[in-house]
Amino acid sequence: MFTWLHKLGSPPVLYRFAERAAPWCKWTAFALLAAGLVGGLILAPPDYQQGDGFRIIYIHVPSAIMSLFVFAYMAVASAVGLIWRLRMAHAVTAAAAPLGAAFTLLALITGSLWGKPMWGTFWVWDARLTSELILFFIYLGYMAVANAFPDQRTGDRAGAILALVGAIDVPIVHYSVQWWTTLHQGATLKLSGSNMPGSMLWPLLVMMVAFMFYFGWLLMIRLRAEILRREKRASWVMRLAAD
Amino acid sequence: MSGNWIRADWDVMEALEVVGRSQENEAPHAGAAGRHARVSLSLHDLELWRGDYCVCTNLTTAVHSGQLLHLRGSNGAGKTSLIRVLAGLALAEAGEVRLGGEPTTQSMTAYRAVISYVGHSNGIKRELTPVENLRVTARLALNPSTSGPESALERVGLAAHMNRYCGELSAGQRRRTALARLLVTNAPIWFLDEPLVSLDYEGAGLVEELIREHLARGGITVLATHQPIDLKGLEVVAVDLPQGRAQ
Amino acid sequence: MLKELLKRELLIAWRRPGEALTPVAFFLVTSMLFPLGLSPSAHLLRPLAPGIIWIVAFLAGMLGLQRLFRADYDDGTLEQLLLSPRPLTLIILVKAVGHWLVTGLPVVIGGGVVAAMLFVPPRYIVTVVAGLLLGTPVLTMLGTMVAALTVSLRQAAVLGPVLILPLVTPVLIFGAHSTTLAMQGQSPAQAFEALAAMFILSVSLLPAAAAVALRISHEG
Repeated sequence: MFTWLHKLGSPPVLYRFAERAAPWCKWTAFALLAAGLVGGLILAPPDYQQGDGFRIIYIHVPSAIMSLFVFAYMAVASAVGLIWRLRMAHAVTAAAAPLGAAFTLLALITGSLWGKPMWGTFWVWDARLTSELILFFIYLGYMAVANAFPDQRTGDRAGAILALVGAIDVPIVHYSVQWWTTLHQGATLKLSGSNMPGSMLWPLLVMMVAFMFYFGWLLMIRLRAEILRREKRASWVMRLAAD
Repeated sequence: MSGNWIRADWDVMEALEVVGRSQENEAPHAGAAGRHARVSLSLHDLELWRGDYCVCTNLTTAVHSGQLLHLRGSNGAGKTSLIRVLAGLALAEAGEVRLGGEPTTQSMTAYRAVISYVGHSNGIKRELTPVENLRVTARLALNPSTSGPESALERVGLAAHMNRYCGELSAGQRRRTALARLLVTNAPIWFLDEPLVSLDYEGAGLVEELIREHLARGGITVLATHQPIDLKGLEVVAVDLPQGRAQ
Repeated sequence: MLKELLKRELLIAWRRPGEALTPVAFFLVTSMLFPLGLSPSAHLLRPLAPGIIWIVAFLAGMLGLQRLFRADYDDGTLEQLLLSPRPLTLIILVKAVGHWLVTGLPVVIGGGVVAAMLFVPPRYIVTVVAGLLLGTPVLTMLGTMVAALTVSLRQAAVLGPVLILPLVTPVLIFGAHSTTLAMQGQSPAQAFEALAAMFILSVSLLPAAAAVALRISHEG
């Protein structure tokens, strides 16, 4: 397993892996998205309190979860890149950053749209929303730092430090609903089970997995572009361009 | 292993160990009279790029006690980039720098204990006097020269200006203060990047003298300069950049 | 060695007093703008006082941020610190302590004065000062790390505050909250515990992060 991971540190190997993995992620994502959306928008019954308005949960919750997951992923990749000096780990982090930022923005916007009809306000400065907003700024900060240096390598490594320090916000967002009483409801999903009825729950789970594959697909695409951009001097890239 | 490069920064125990070892030896590190222990610095398959410009590839060479490594090339050839890599400030794309056969990345602390670097900028604070600046230098080194900052400043001709603020000194005098650092740190390996900048004719002579004395004591000097300098009679290993052919 | 380095930092600050005093001067002057710009009424200012004090303390910290490493970077002294065999983490910690003594401690003391100006009842001024005492070092440490990351950049002055804002927000929130809770008659203990935790985390972990960041900044 580790030898396989180690081989992925080589740019042409990673490029080919991304090329081959992309279609798998794409079609799985689309299939799951279709299933989840049908299940969530059509099949699931209306909520007795919120009516049909609750359905935005099928976009909001997966986005929010992805926003945290992607940053944690970036933090791990940053650590790997710093400790083992793998350039490709930094390439993965750089490729994932805009995607994570987009998920965060989507979560914030869908949350706002949900909040207005439900609680009468677009925004409230409670713990979870505030820390999610902070996460958005940390994403932007990472992208700013990584691109601010004339030397790509230095920028990568500086961004990696920021990603590691900023990663502390991820558990804060996640546990904020436990630590402070906020507008947000408590955890709907726990490992032991859930208090959501099954017909509402399964589309949510499907959407979460769908978003994961969607992220995977977009990551593979962006990763290939990143690799080409960084390795443009390498001979294997020249050969690829010649074909 | 690359992790060592980061580990060295908070490895207080390692630093203390290196201090302990060098103090145990009781070798004659003190002052200008003592000889340096035998050292060797070697480069192996070093590959260095600056953006799209290749400074060197597969550069392999070595210098030993008493020798001078001369990095030659015009402006922009990459001399500064290379000397920074050798001093452990920057990273090369590939290859190794070895101290006495062991890669420097194994123990950056031990490597930094035996080097002294005078770069483009002087590395002195204008708000302090030369003496105060050199006292800090002595504190930052592990095995400073026992003769102290005052004698180092006398050697470089700044006896009269020791206690004026560096901001009031001329550029040449500040450069001499930077050179005095080499004497205070008492390190066997010197890195000099364009040392003759700002110096007058006498100053250039001073640099040549310091280098000769250092090599005679068994030290190594890595010199990067495009300005003409008198190295007659010295054992010189020359590297021309950007081709990177060692002669 | 550490004492010598600290003495050096303080000596340099002593010989450049203008640069060193700018943050605290900014803090005092800007705090005074609030009663002038908003309203001089105690009724309005008192509940806002904790927030005002912390926001202006943060801004004052931003002002002094570049002082940490910029000058040393430009004259090559920072490079010499990187070349030293001494542990860079400790060296940075000393620099941060020196920086705090010059820019943070005056703000802590000034905060008490400003609190009085903003009609905070005298018995809660202690809370304000205690909170600032715990919080300003965290601001300094975060600033050290961000300054270390951006020292080699030309646009560091712009990028620095942008990077530090998301990291500093919890300090601001808990700091202001501690005084607000006290003034409302509740116990500020939880807020102080949070501040203390942030203090311990930042002082123990961030110097090492800043050391790595400094080396990375010099690599290019």
